[in-house]
Amino acid sequence: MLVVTRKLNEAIVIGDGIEIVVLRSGHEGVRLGITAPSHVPVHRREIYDTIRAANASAAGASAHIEGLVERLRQRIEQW
Amino acid sequence: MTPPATSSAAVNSAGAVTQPATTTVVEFPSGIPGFETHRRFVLIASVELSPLGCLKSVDSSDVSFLVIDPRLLSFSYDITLSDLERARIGAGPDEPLLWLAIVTITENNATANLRAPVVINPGKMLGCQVIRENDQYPVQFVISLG
Repeated sequence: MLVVTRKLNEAIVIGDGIEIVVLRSGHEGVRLGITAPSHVPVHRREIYDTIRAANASAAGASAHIEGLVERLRQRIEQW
Repeated sequence: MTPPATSSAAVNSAGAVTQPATTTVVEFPSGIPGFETHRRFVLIASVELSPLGCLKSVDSSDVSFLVIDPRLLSFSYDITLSDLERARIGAGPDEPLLWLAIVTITENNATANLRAPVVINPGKMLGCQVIRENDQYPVQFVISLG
């Protein structure tokens, strides 16, 4: 991991078009300003992880629902 | 752009023509969080699944999501997309978009993710999952099955 020390209003640049600048720093945390191209989504790690986990459990559950829908279709065909 | 693929109508044993399921390929340029390698999905809408739809990966037959119109669950559901988010799916300011909440089925209940809806631009067949940083809408909105 690259570790750098930055002061207020100083920035780091990542690749082509991503910039992170320190806007404020205090006891409650560090406030960062992030500039990134439109195709690069930027999220807080914990929120992103929550959505990832939600997607993983949704994808897992839909497998047996498809079976259920299939049974439902067979029932409909029997009518 | 991939043209919509439509399955043909089937005739059941009773001789009645069943409603064909319509499927359409939607490109997700950044994938879906946790499934970044899956870039192409078909949206399956059928009478049998309704009001649920199925977003199924074309890149793997194992990955599919049940989805529902979030406005069926929360009538006042309203999320505003930033210009940046609209640009991500090639949508102008007034372009009509398709909103879908991903549904999770567990043994005892079903929940819908209203906080991170899938948004599709039908005009360009581009989609993405937008994640709201605020907690106005829950990740696990309980769908009452009673």
